[in-house]
Amino acid sequence: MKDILQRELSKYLYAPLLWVLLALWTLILLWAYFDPFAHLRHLVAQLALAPQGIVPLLKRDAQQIAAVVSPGMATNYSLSVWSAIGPHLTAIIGAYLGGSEYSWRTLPAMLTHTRRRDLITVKLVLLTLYILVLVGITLVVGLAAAWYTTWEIRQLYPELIDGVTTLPEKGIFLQIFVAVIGPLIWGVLGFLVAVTTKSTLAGVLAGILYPYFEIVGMGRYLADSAVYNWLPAVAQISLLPAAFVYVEGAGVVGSPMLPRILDIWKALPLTLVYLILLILTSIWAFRSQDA
Amino acid sequence: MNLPQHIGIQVVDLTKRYGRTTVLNRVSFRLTAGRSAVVLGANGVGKSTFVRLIAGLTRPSAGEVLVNGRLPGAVPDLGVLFEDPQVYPHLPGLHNLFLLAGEIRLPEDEQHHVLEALGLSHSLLRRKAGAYSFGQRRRLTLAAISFRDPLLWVLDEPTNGLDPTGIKAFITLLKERKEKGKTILLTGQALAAFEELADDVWVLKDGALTYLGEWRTLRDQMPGIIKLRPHDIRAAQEALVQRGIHALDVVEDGTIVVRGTASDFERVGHLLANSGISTYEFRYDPPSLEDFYRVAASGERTEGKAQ
Repeated sequence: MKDILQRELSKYLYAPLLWVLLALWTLILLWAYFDPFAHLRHLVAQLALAPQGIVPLLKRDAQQIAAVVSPGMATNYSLSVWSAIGPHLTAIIGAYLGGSEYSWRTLPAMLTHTRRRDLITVKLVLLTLYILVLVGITLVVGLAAAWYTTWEIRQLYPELIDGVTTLPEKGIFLQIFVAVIGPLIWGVLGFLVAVTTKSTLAGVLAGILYPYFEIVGMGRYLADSAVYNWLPAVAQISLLPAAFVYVEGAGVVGSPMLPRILDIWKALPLTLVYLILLILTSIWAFRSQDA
Repeated sequence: MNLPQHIGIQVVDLTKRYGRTTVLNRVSFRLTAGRSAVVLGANGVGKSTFVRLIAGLTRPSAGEVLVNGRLPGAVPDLGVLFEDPQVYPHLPGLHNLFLLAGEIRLPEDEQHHVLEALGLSHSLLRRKAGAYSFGQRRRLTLAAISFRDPLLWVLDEPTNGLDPTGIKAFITLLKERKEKGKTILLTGQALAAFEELADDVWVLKDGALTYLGEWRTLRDQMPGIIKLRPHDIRAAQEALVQRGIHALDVVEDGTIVVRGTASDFERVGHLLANSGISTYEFRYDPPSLEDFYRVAASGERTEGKAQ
C-alpha cells in the first residue's frame, strides 16, 4: 500500500493542474485579504469627508474589517473563505484523480499490477491529503496575509487599530475538521462521477454544480418538507455557521444563505454518512466496471 | 479453485458478450508454465478481449479464467502489453517506466541491457512521454514489463509499431526470458517474427479458440518450398518425376522449385545422391507461421490436443 501511495504521489506531484489549482487558491486567499483592506482604505478616506453623524458607523465598519483580517481571526477568516471556495476546487481535484487515468488511458496498465481496491483507496487518500495540504496552506498564507494586512493598517491608521477587538472564535479543531470534510464530500462526488462516467469533465461539473442544484433548485421547492433536512448539501453547508464566525460586509464571505440551517449535531453525522456512502459507492463502481 | 502453480493460464468455457454480440463463445485454453503460445486471428475476432479477460480488466459473461492459479486482476506475476499502450504524458519516459513496471525485479545490469536492446536512450527517457511516437510508447511499455520481470508475459500484437531492429531486439529479449522459464502468450495476425519462440499454436475464429498443435510438429507436417539448382537440370527433373515428385516451377536460372515437407526434402536429397546428380544449391524453406495462419484461417487445418 505504501508503494502504491508513493507511486500515485509521484504521478500527481508533476501534474500541472494540481499546481495551477494550488497557485489559484493562494491568489484567491490573498485577494480575500487585500479586497477588504482596499475597502477599509476607502472607508477611512470617506471618514474625513463624511457628516459627523455617519462617522461612528464608518469607523465601526472599518474596525470590523480590521478585526476580520487581523491575525487573531486568521484561522476563522481564511478557513471560512476556503469553505466557500474550496468545495469547487476539491470537486475539480476529485474529478481529476478519478478521471485522469481514463483520459490518459493508462488504467489497464496500472491494473495489471495494482489491485483495484488498493488503487481507488490510495486515490481517495490522495484526495484527502491534497485537501489537508490546501487547508495547511490556507492557515499559513492566511496568517501571513493577516499579519501583513494588519501591519499595513497599523502603519496607515494607528488610531483605528487601537479600537479593534477580535470576535470569539469557535474552536480551531472544529474549524479544521469542517474545512476538510465539507470540501471532501464534493471532491468524492466529483471522483465518483468521473469514475462512473470515465470522464473528468463530468466529474467536475457534477461536483461543482450539484450543491447549487440542491440549494437553489431543490431547496426552493423542498424547504418546507421533511426531505430538506436530509439533503447532503444542506447538511454540509449547515456546518459552516456552526464552525465559523461571519461578520457581514467585513470580509469576502458571509453567512450561508439557506432557508433553514440544520443543527450541528444533525448536520455533522449526516455529512459523514453521505461522505462514507460516496466513498463506498466509488469503490464499488470502480471495482465493478470494465477498465 | 486453486490450480497447481505449473499452469500459467487456465481458461474454462469462457464466454464474453457485448450486448447481443458474442465475441468469445465457450473458449477453453491452457498454457503450461514455461511454454509459449501464439493465438492467431484476424482483426476484430476478439484477441484483445481475450487478453483483457486474462488481465482481469473485463469480466467474463460466463466461464472462468485463472492466471497462475488465481483469479485475474493484479496477479503478482503477470505482465501485459496491450494493443495500444499508453503512458503518462506529463512525465518523462524514465518516470513512466517505473510507474508502468509497478515493481522492479530485474537486476540493474539487465535493466541497462533491456533499455539498450529496445533503443531507449537516456535522452529519450528524459523527454516527456507525451511526445513519444506509438512505437516509442510500445517500446517503453515493453521495457516496463521487462523491468517487472513477471513469470507470465501476455503480449497483444507485440510487433505493432516496432521497426525491424526493434522486433529483432525484442525477440532476443523474449528468448532470454523464455530460457529463464517464463511463460509467454502472444497474439496477432502475422507473427512470423515469433516463430522461434512459439511452442503451441491456437487460432481464434468466429468466437471459438482452437488448438492446432505444437508449432514444430505443424511446421514439419506442412509443406514448405524445396529449391534445387542442379548441374544437369534435365536429369534432375526426370529423376524427380520418376519418383512422383512434380516441380512447382522451374526458374530461369535453372532452379527447380518443389512444394514439400521437411521429410520430402530429405527424400529428394537421398534421391539426388543416389542418382548421382550434383547441385549448385539445394535448400529447404520451411513454412512460416504466417503461411500457416493463412491456411488455418481458410479452415483447412483441424484441431490438435493441447499440452
